[in-house]
Amino acid sequence: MIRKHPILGVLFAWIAIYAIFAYLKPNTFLAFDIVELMMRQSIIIGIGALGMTYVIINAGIDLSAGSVLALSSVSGALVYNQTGSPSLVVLACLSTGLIFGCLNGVLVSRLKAGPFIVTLGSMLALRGLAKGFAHEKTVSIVDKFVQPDLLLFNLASGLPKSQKWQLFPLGAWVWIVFLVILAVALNYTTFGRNVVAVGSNEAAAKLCGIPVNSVKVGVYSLAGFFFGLAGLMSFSRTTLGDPTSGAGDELKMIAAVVIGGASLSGGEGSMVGTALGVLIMSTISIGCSQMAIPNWIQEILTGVIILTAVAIDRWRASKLAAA
Amino acid sequence: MLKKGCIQLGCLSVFAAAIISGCGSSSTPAPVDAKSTGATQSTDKKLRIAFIPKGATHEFWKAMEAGARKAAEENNVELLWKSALKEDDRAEQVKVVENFTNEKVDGIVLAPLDENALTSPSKEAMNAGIPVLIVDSGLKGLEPVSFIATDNYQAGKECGEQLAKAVGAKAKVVLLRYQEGSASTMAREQGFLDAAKEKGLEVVSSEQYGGATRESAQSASENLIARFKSGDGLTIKGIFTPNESTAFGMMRALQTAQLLGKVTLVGFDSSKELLDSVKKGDIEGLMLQDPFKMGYLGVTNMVKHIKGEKLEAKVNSGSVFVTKANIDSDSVKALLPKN
Amino acid sequence: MSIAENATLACRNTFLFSPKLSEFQADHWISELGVKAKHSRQKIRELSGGNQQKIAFARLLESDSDLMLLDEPTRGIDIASKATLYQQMDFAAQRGCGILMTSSYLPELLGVCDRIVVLNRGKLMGIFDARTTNAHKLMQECIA
Repeated sequence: MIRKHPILGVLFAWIAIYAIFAYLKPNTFLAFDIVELMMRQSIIIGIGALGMTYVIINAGIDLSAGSVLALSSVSGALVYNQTGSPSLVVLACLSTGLIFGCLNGVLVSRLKAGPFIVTLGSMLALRGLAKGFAHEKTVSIVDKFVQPDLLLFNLASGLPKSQKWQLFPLGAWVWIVFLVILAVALNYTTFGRNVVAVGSNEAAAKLCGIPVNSVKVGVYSLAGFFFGLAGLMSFSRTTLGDPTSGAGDELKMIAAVVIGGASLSGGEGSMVGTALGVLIMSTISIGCSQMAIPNWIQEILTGVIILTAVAIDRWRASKLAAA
Repeated sequence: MLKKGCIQLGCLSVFAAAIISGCGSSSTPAPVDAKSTGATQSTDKKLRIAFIPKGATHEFWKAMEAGARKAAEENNVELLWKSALKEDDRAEQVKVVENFTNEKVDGIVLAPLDENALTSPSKEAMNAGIPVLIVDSGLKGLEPVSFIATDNYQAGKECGEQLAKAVGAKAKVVLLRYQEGSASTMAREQGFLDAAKEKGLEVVSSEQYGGATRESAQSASENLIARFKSGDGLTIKGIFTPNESTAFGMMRALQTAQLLGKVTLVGFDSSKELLDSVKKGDIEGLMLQDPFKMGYLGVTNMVKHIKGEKLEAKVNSGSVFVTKANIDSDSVKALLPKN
Repeated sequence: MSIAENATLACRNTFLFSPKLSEFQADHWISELGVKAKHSRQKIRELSGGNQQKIAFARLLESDSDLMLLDEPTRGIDIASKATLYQQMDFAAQRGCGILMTSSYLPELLGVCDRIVVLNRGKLMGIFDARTTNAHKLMQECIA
């Protein structure tokens, strides 16, 4: 029960924020359309935050998330322009993410310079690579392959009337399915347990015979895979390979993970908490827009919520230590 | 201990210098490279003019670069084209200006990201004897040798008038702004709002910003659409977006909501996707600036100034409102990206 | 991490990890070693040092290894806990597990070990049978 408390806290916070907006603007917030919109706008950050949660539980951090996302969307657009094949685009995006995630993992475990510095480096390098691949401009889809009705370009778009029964666009379902898989894997596989063990005490984990370096490479590769998937969603949403996309998204993902109850010192965190963190941020963003509240207030609100989440977490930890 | 550290640091900096100069010798015209080649071929002293755009990835800047390169070729000028890494990173652009001042280039053509932040580095350059010519966006508190730009306020006003013509008086319209602090788009937004007031349009939302990327503009657009949705349609009749990324984000959001064509969209600047939509009639019209001319005039006028000619303080590089009706005419085609 | 996760961390790795099973195993050691804990899902860092050491020892026992290397296993823990650890080491030895333990506390070595190796500044000073030697002899080798 104690372990479940943090998630309940985040859940209540989300419900409370939602309730405030619903009270202020019942017509909009009590309709299903707004939930669909919220899911749709959560997909990119949500999918990226899945990987980020594993990294942060592993006591790491990945600042290159936004750059990997951009690189993936650019490579997806380039492959689409060459082949016109949606399945190859999916393959390109995911393998781009996986390859550069793996590279991050190898660098983090070999360089021993700390994940912050290492991924700061790869953040800059990969952003440059994305711009280089795209020849410093946005990769537009060539005329012969423009097909707005293709599922590839509707993974994260609003559903047409005839498909409303699906509730959410496919991208949101992909997010939910991976959320469940990763949540189960964290608690019920040896890999998941090793991720937590390395995150809470790396030296002790090593002495227990856990292959620390392989675990790290695995975690960063996994994260890269999801940043690549987020890049695919970004490509799908904008129908462009935009080398500037995702700038700053890594911080939104980290914020969601922290709001969800994870500790940046590692060993703690939950997938469901992170998902709720993402939903809280989208709720604020959509709510502020619906209420015609200017951006600066929205930014203050998000910041205050992150600080509150951290403060509550510290307070709870000190209570537990005192008990 | 300290001594050893110093030696290491020394080695490191030598190493770093080696890397930097190594990069400089590649094909990109980095300042270091430019200096060394300038020193070796002293036959005919080429003018070195730095051109600092706001960004590199928008079509707009690509066209401006093409114009600048053409002028550079014609005038036998060595063009140093260098943008800030991020389209909205002011501090980075300040550094680029400072570096070129330090490099002692013959002239700087600058498209300032911010009307205030770039003032003092530009002044420093002027004080160091390097003429500064401003293009695209205005700069406060500085007398540049010339200011070449679209008259953004007028252009925004014309957009408002065109929108009013399309939707009729008293209609509800929305303005999705670009970013806080960008002088050119703010002038367009103000021009639009003034025109809307004159023509009796009701602006129901003008407080939302699209932000730096197309993706963020798209999310902001979706939120606006959700806010003004009623049944299958919208309660608003018209939308104005002041630059390429907001226009694209809004178009894409309308497209996925199956609302394209149900609302009159007027945008600013162009890209392939936006022009296609104009042709299809999904976008009412786009205000096209002439970035090619802006880049071309920027370099040519700078050369003229260096040679001692007197320049006009303000040069309007012009803009054209493109609609489905005139998109195939020659005067418009001249403004479109050539490929 | 919880007590259960800690106690089973060094077990032979299978793809799947069962929290139920690890809690069951940890509960066994909690009662066997007399760990003062509320339940096996409690966080390990909430325990006292002696109890943490017991769980660390349980981890070795649970891994069912044939050889254990123990470096000062009883430093800084209370007498009752020490006794429990000695008893468990004895059980493990009887099961056929070899134990190599280092300690700077002579009575402990004499009481627990079969053979004692004295190292002095990196040099091997001799191997003694614990039944025939005494603290005085060992000490002489140590300071020789």
